Amino acid sequence: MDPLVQRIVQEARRPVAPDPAAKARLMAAIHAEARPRQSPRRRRWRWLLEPRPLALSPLGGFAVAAGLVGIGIATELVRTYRDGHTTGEPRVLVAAAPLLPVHDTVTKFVLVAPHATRVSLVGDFNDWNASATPMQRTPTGGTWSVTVHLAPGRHVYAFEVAGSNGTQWVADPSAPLAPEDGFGAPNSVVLVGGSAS
Amino acid sequence: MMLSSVRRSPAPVLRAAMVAVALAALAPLHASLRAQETDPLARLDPNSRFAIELVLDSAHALGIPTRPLTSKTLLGISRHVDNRRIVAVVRGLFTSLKEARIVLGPSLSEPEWTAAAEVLQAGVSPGVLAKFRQNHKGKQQLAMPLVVLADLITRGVPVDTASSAIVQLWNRGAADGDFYGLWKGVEQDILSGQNPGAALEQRVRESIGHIPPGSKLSSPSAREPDNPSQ
Amino acid sequence: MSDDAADVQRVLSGDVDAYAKLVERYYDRCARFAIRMLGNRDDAEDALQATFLRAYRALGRYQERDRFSAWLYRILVNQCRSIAARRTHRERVFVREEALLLNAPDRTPAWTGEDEEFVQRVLNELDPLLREAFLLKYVEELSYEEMSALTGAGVSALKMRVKRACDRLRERWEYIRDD
Repeated sequence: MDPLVQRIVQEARRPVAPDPAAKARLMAAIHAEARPRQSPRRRRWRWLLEPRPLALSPLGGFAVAAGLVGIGIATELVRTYRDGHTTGEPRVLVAAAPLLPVHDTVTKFVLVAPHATRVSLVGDFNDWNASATPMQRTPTGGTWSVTVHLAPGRHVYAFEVAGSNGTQWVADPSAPLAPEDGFGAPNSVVLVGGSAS
Repeated sequence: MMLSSVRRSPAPVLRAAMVAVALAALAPLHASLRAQETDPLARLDPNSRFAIELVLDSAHALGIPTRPLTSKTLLGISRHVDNRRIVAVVRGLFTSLKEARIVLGPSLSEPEWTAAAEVLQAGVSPGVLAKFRQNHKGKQQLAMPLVVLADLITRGVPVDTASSAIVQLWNRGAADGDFYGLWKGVEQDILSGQNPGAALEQRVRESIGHIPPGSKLSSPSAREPDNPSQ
Repeated sequence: MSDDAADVQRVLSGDVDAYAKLVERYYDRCARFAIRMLGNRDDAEDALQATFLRAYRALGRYQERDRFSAWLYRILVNQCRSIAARRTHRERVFVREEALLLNAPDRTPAWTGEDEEFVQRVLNELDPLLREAFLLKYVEELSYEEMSALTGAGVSALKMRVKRACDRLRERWEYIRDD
């Protein structure tokens, strides 16, 4: 063999040190495979159909007693972001999770955005697709709303607001913020409940 | 606050999303499955798609919910994020989900689980997250306190301040309504210009005045009022 | 019965830890092939994970007349091919980021004989089929018959690929040396 190629072969034959964690992950995956088997089809779908324990909505106790739809309206003329910049657009939001007596999980989202031409609700419940859940403008013109059926549990969402300046991705100013999502977009969290306590 | 478990069939709106998730999870196992119009992962380049599918495959094999992973992928796609960044972020979330289970144990509900993973991603250490394992007797959901904790950190409260405040309330048996009220108060304070950390500390002091130590409002069992739930 | 065949039987009887023995026996060697073939650790890890998981699932189909390592390598080679094929054209020249950081952009690294980065870069420049044949022949040290069974290509085609791989590597080395 050519001596130059021989040197390449020698180097290429050197053992590599694989990441020990990778082997551990592999064995963990193997052990997970080895759990008592149901039929494959049922096993794959099982996790989709498992009942999920419910968490009450952010309304907590107050809404139960009063049958309230809204958590109250926070009027904010200026929204301050974490980095200190502010927007002057007047915006009011009510994130509502009415607790209905039956097992229902209807949630109404409302955003006041009088200068918008189009507002969409985007979230993990509609694959973040802006065309899936457009919001409707109320007759007064300044408020947009939509009512959605959400599965009980935790959901992350935001609003896509189109205006004369283009399209903005906006978190719900009245809801808890999700941590930075890795893509630079601000998102909100809603915990959706089911039956009344 | 009482919680109940409901077994119900998924609403039609959700079923479509679940099918999409199931398809994404099954794709590596059915090599002949072609990209369908309803398959949103088809919008990824093949290399990134394969990487995401491997993560979903691994998650499923480990019993880790794939829904948050798929959702994160779709969020990145809809935000037109570079595909390789999407892969990196989804892998990071997968790691956090695994870590959350190790720290909090296997009896997590999905909302608690994703909330815990996001708390880790917000910068809370696993050691601190582990403190929530105490007193987690299954009755009281961790989702609300963890959601509030993540929010406070995102709004600028230092990680240590926020963590110790929420842990403190958790150990004292604060319920969902208490956490929510705390969050609402601090949010208002921050919006009116107060320093986030100071605002939280003030609100916590006020809250503690209302909650007897060791009380578990949602637990049916009686507790000694002077027995700290440390 | 070989060790491998015995361990396979144990796994099929429900002893998952017997699979760990097989993994222990073959993981590092497979890792070396995957890294040399794919040029980076992330892809290699993906290939290894997929390979050993698929092998586990397909264990029922393993026939004792095959050598287990050959059967495993067939899966590994196919996994590496899938991953390589899925890469976009833009990424076909895989340059490891660490190598970029270590080497100034306007200077080709001097060959030190111990420079893994350099060898990997040179291997990366080979056409994947040539690289695969070269690695199987000289790094995995398989016979042409074994390579043929593994890849499905004929022995003479494989000999041709190995020869062309050596020619390309030599050209590349001389080109660099003459800079």
